Amino acid sequence: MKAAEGLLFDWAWPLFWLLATLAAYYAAKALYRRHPAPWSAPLVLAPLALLLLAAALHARYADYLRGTHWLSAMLGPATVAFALPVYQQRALIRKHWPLLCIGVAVGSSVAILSAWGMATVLHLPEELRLSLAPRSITTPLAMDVSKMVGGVPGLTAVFVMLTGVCGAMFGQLMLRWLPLRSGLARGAMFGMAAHGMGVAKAREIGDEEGAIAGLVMVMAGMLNVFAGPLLIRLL
Amino acid sequence: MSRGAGWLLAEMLLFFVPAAMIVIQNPQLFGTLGLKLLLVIVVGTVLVMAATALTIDLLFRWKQRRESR
Repeated sequence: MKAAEGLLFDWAWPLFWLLATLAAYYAAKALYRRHPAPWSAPLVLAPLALLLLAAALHARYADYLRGTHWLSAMLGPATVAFALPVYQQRALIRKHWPLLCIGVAVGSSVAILSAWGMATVLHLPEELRLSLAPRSITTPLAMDVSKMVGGVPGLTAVFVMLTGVCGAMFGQLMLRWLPLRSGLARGAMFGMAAHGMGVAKAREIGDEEGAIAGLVMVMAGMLNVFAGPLLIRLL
Repeated sequence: MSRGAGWLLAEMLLFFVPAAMIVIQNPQLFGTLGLKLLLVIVVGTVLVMAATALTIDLLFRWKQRRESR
């Protein structure tokens, strides 16, 4: 009896967190459809609601992780699924790839140097400075780079997440402020600065923007894995 | 295949939600340190967006002008 109770209890919290995560996500998505605003984006409201719930229930992170780790595992296949829109826009990409390469090189340099510069001015510890540097690229690759240069991969995951939310929120405003004539620049902006979340946002704006953003995200990820550690070590 | 990929992409934001919960384990992120980190992330992201978009847009216009000549 006691063993059965233990088993039930073992599964109750992870299952609860899985259902809570799904409920929070779909509720936030429904709300966003009715009131589309930067603050009501599902990636702002759903984690916020879950954090409040977790704080109220004194949740253990291990329980949360056990119920939901397979959702995070879906990020792998989802990243591969970006190949499809990229393939559909191949003509455009073949024509403009040198521009995209230059944009990705400039964007990656600004990302690493700005994080380094501001972290130094604000006297953040070395460990955090190194964890911040790869924040603009997709989570799995960012965690790899963080580990390579001596950062904390778990913290990098949080910074990547915040960067994505921030990029998706500010991207809309940037489109209003910056005089961008090409879908190429609009898509690259989201893919470079805000990885997967930026790509999801770019897909709302247009097919061309979405495909370019997906491609730029992959290019930025690869460039950072190869050249990022070199640049960070030079600093 | 196109429908499966479409679903994965449409529901992709859901797969990011659990990653955010790691902050439960790092309560020190809610203090002044957290505000500083947020500042670095917000300003840095805006800079990256502006630099990337303007670079590509300027090059794109320059290339178009040259081609139309």
